Amino acid sequence: MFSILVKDDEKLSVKVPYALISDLNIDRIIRLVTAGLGDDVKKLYDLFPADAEEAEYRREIFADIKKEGVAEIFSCFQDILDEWADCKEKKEKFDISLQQCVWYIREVHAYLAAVELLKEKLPPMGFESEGMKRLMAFIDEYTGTEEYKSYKETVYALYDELVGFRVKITYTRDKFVITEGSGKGTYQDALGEHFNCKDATFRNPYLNGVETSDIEYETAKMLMKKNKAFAEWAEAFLLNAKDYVREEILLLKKEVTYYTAYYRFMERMQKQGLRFTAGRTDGDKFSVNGLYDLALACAYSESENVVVPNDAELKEGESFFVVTGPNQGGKTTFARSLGQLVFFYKMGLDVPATKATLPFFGTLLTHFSVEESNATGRGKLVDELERLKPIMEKREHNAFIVINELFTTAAHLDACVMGEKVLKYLIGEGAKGAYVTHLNELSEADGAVVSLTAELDENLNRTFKIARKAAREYVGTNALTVKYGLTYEQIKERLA
Amino acid sequence: MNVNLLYQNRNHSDSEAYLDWNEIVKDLGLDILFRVARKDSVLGLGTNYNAQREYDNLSLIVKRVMAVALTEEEIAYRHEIMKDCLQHETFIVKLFVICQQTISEWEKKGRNKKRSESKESGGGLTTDIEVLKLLYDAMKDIKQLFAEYEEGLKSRGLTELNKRINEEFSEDKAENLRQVLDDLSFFADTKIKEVKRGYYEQINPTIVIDVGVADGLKFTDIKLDEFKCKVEAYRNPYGIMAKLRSQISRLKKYTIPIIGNQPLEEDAQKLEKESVSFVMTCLKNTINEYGGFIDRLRFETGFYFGAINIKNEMKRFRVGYCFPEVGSFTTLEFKNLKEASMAMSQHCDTVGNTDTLDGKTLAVITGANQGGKSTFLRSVGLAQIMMQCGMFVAAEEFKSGLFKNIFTHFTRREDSAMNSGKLDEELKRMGKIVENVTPGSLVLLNESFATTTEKEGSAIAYDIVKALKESGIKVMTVTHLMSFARRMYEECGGAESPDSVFLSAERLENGTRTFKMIRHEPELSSFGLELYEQILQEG
Repeated sequence: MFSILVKDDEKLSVKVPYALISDLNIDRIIRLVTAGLGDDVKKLYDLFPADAEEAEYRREIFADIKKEGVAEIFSCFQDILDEWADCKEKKEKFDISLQQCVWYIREVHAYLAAVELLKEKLPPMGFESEGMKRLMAFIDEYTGTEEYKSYKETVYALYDELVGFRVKITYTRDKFVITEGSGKGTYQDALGEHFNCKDATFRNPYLNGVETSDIEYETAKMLMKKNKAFAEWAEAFLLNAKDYVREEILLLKKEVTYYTAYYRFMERMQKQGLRFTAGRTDGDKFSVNGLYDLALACAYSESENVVVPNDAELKEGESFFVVTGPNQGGKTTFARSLGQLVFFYKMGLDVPATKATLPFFGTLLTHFSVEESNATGRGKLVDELERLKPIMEKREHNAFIVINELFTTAAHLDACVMGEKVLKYLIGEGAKGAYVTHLNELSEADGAVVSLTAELDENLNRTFKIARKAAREYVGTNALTVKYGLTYEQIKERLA
Repeated sequence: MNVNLLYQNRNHSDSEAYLDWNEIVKDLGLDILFRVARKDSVLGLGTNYNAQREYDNLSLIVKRVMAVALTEEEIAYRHEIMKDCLQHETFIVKLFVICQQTISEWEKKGRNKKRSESKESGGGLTTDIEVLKLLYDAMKDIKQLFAEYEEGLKSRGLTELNKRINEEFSEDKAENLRQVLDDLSFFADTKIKEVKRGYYEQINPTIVIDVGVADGLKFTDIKLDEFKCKVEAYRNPYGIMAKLRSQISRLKKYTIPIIGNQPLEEDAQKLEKESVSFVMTCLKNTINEYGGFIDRLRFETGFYFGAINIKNEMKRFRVGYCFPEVGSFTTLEFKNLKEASMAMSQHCDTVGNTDTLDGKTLAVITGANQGGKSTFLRSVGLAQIMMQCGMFVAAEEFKSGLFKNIFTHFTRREDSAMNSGKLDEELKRMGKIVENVTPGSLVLLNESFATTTEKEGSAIAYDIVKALKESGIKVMTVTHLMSFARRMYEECGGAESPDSVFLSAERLENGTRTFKMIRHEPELSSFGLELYEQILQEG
């Protein structure tokens, strides 16, 4: 069956490991992306595309979705189908009756309206992706048959007549009087004019459930008595009901959210000044500008804090970033942002950066230190080594690995030796990645290592900038006036 | 509808407050001012406890408004209004009282309570109608009050506001609103009344709606065609004639009598309620508009009412006032400048200071303990804050520049307890000031860095004061750190200094303190010992 998430359904998508999602704070991002949309939508982000070609299929579709007006068309399409589901549900509450006929007309009409919307609105969008072209071809083929056309004609005619009925109800304390035809809404208009409230809607007073109230029942009875032909026609239509739904349309409704939800999320974030880019592959090249931690940026969006973007590049012969520097200086944040970059690129979606060139990594793995596990009763070091084992054993040649603070409980020298071994092994296997550590020695562990440090400014304040530099030691100062920035020079500089 | 009594074309915003407003309030003792602000000195309504409570929020209003510094133009705008208010004190107070009473009545009716979503009770709607009536009456009263005083009001703020009220609550608009209130009257008053024996009256509605049926034959896309009511008289609603009339109506085509048919009676009630609810929804903007207007009007008139109360209290203790003049950054001239909050808290007359400190960006004040140094510093700070919010000032004349921000760094009583880490606390506060201060600000330091040795304290004070002064910040400091004061004195050119001035609390030969500040070279003793002996001897 035609899908906009999978090009070749012979290939199996890959489950995203849970540890990775939480280590990189991807879960927080996805929670915001899918806010208000339900768990089914969340699940769409649980699977990586099978390979580079599949990811590219999505990336092209996403490029089309980003075109102006496209997301609106799809959200309108989804809304109409929601209405379709709603009418369908209501119809099923009734046995054969005039009410069921009415809901059935509404139901089929909504479905057809959704299909017609795509038929009308998609072609002018100038889609370039294979997926969108396949979608349009499908719609053309589907709506082109005689059967579809004549069915649509009947449904639209019934619908038009149904919505054309108007009845006037006059209420005085002792009676209702029902007359067919339309009033003028005069009092409402006067209110609108005098009190500036043109869009107020008069709610149905009898909204409890789908059953009609007595006055509604009396009204319908009068109306159908006067319009016998319509009543008979509608009943015949229901009695000859047929299976009119195409599964492709329902699947499209579900899958398109994968793109539109992320696109809406990007729009919200862009309004707050964050940037995204599609990213591209150019052989083995790895170079990214303006990369930031999207999860942190989301958390900051409520406050005045801003994330600091960073650049990173792996040149010829380089394959691993080793990030050192002061505590809370932005090391882990940087490593996370690299992981997020690879994650969203693999997903075929835009990445949180201004410019990104990177290969498609077959595997993305993370290893973040955790609190000592009481459950296992083992020490932290054992725990860490155990968790490291599968990463080492995978022997992936095309992996991106993010490691955060390994061996913190081991003695300094031991930790250096073990860290170096891990690094050398992974580099030997052809993996790329980032390694955040306190051990400055590791930045010189191998020729393929790029040493990055979290920078401080001249006053020893953290800048959250990550720079390509040899690791160095920092010494803190304790003098109170320096601490509070109150020396003559500090004040002068601040106020310059 | 805008009120614009605080600004010509915008509303007050708390976000523009001085960065360290709470510190300023504490250091300059502004709380006493806020307390006095709610003391109704005009109508004398304050004697009643409940009425007094109604004025409690005046304190908060004055506190919030004083927290924001104005531009010269904005000050002039408020001065005009303030002068109108001082001339017609009862006008502004009555205006405030109308708003205050309306809002507290509204609050009693559950203004801020969340409505239960249940559609079953019509109680919420009845209250909404009452609120609408309340606002309608308040608007009428406000308009009427303005009409009474129209002749006497000269300020742009008040005359423009009068014009706006006449436009936004024009005769037409008032009439439309009154009409809707009439149309709604059946809902609040459903009873059949016996007007005289055997004769009954009831307010009866006529509601006409226009509906579609495409939602499974339920009413949809409903439009309200007619909505009105009239008082109808009966002989006896429970009598034979009434029943007969109801039966006869059944004979007409598509007429469904309601009486005696319970489901239909329920339908009828729901329709009534929904119609009223719809009408009230349509009026939501109007309620919000008038309600919001009255809210803002209470807030803005509250500031002037509070100011009048402060002025009257100052008068009680022979503290005069003037409308200050705006000068440049380095201007500071004052005549008989008094510390109003001290006068009000200690119920006494205070000593006024007179001087011209033009061109100075640094004032170092030293001298005898208990000599009035801190009081003087506070009087300058207080006058500056009052000036910058468009109030009068407690002096015969006052002229000064305007400061984007004002910072105070006072040694607090609690600081003098020799806890370890006090210097740390002081420096931390200072650090916060330096972080936020910008050129063009005023910094008032009172006995700062006294929690460490004289040597260390002087070094710190010197660094900070020098750097601030050189960065275009006006600094006034009261200090006991004599090496610091001497060093500044020598470096700045002593008594002849072009940009600095050194003041001292006057102490006569016989040791008497006059509480006046005079130009004086910093002296090495501040006569604390003398005071110590004096108190010990007395003790």
